[in-house]
Amino acid sequence: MTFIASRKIIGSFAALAFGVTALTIVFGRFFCGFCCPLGACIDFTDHFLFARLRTKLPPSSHPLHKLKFLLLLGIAVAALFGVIFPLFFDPISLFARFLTVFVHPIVPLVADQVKQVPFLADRFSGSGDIPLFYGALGIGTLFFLVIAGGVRERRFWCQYICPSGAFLGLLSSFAPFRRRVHDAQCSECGACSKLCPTHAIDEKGFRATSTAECILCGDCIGYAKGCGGFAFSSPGNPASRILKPDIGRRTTLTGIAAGVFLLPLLKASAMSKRDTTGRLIRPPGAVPEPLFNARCLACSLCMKACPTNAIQPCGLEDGFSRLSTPKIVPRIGACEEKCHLCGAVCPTQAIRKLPYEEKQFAKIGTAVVDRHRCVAWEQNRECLVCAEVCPYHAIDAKSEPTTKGQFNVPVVVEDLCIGCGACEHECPVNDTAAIVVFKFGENRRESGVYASETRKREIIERRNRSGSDAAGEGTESAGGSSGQSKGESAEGKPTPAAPSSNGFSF
Amino acid sequence: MTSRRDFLKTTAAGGLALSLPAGLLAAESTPSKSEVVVGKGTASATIPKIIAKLGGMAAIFKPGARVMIKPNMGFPNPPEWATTTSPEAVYTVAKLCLDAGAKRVVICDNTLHDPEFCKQKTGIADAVKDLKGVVIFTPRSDQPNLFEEKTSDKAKYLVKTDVVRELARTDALICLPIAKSHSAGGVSFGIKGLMGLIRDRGVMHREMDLHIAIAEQLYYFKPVLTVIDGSRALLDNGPAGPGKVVELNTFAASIDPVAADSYGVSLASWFGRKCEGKNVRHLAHAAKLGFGNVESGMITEFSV
Repeated sequence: MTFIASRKIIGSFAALAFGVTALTIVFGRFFCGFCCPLGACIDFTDHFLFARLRTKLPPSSHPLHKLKFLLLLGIAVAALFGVIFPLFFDPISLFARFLTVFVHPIVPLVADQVKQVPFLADRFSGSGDIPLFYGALGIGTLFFLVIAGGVRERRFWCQYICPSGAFLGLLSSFAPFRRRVHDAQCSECGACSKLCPTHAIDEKGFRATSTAECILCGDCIGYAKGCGGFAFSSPGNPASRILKPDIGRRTTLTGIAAGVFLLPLLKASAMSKRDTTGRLIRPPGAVPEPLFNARCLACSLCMKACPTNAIQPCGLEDGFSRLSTPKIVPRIGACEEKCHLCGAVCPTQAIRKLPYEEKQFAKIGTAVVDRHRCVAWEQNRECLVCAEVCPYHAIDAKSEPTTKGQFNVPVVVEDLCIGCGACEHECPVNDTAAIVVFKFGENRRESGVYASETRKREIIERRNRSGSDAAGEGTESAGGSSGQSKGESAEGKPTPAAPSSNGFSF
Repeated sequence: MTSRRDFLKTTAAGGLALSLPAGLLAAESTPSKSEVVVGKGTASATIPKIIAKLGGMAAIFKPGARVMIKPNMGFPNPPEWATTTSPEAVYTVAKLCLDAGAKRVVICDNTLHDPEFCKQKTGIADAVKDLKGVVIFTPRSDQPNLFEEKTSDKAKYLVKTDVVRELARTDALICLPIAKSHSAGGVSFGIKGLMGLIRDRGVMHREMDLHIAIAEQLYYFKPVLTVIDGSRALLDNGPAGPGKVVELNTFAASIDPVAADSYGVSLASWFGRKCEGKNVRHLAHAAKLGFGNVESGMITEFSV
């Protein structure tokens, strides 16, 4: 789906995808039965919980099987229009998201408490932020609903909803490797049909199997030894007939129509025309936004990898189609200078894998000082924490005339700023920071480098400049001209990049 | 004969002297000299000698004590930038503590950047990884459970603050700062570095006179030893760098936190300007509050 939406085949991810596809054509939905982590989780909870809760017998008919094909078609049509919306429906990213948001924080949260026990504290000196995420309630509810389908019957999600399962099901419509009944041993008891978690076995005669539904779990052959098995079978074998997938002309048309009607919801939200907040800051290395939307699976691997918890799932404020896709919220955490794990883990390269040498030029936004909130600009207080934490030397501590007199204040050098948000994160002004990163100036590329060699050299040189270099004075010159304190300043002279500090009094 | 102008000057000066707050008198009541021992050379060779000159670690804490070392490790920068304490110095001091019978040495800092990156990139994690009994502990501001609130009646600004909980179990606090300039504080040595042991540093910038608040931290922390790591000094663009770095290869130690910092100030020119400890507002204020001596006249220097 990602490939369709982004109109591009993505490296290693493609190898995996095509591998699974080829195997499925031969072996059927083995992935659902043996590989899918969500399927495993569903089976697990079923075994220990839902199997005991279910009182009703599973329904004998299964008209809802076609629902998943409907969804698949709808999503495929949307993908043709460049929209990918795996959020609710892709089982892998659904599961990964659950792990990130609910399982991943458990150890740090427990460790945080353990560290307070004096005896244990030394053994758990590990540190780091406790990863917590926006939208946990929604993500949790969604996952809970998927699992809770087990109240009705086994593998509810896999049978009726999972569009990935539907896709694999279509591929395996003629799978040569499938269930075969050993005629001589079959007593036509029908146990196989009743045991089948996906209702893939014909209820009359029990010989035919719907390969689009069968997940090769083998429950049917475990009941009585020798009455059936799995083998390569010719298409016409009467002991191994194929039931066609439950998808007719009507389903197809409805699915396509559904896809078209999904478009306004997913793509044509006003947010996609114009971003009015400018706060949708994508992780560094993110490809241009339309392509990003097409590629991102919202699998949350980047959020889990981020050491500072800066990457958060988008909420509704960023548009419905962007739900749960990653954005950087500097107030939660800043993008760490020497880290680029998000790009390294992204399976679809919606976030490019960049070496550090390149990442320091992948600008994701620009910091803006709100002079009316800044305690240095507005209240003439000693602060400059933003300049202190900036890893890119993009905030100058300048002596400037403020409303209350000459004072050392932060001034952003826009072309050195990369938008990492260290300043916003550490700004001591409560709630909304006095220095805020907006996405303007972001530099996003699908491939290639982020700046020319000359430009890179210039930027590095300026980032490594020393205050004395900028002021053009020797180191040991006592009483250097840039030294000033308490508002007395060299009026009219160009202000040096890093003047003396207000921390001195002479 | 005294002119009227001279008379007025004298009177004004006298009046000013009389109106100086009582804090100055408090400073006079502290011991009149604070020993600062200074040595030049490599960290591993010099620090043990200057500590020995101070009477050895045995004079600082008893065997079996829990020791906390507060280095600068808040930035994921290499030691060459002089924004963080050199790993060699951290190793040497931690080793000295262990040799003197410390039960546990906790290297503690509330890092500005991601703690794991800071530990690795500064080289401090690598340096102490083979020392048994040494742990690096990085409580961060968004982990309030690792801090506890303390109050002080004497402070003007810093009347309450959350200090790292670990401190309650610590028998001896050793400051081990790198010599560096600081955009807001002027310079950053041991006393400024104590901000790495409190949770809400923002409030000191936002609502207080920063320099007084820095000095008032000494109501909460009692460093029993300050070792200035002057292997390198960051002369400008501090505290984050990169800036002008000089290699001084000088180490200084004192049991008086103000005197040690004050000596550190005299080591180099900060932001291109030569100054003394008394020119640094937070040091001057710390001395005024009676936490130590800032006047260089009171500082006795040894050379190893």
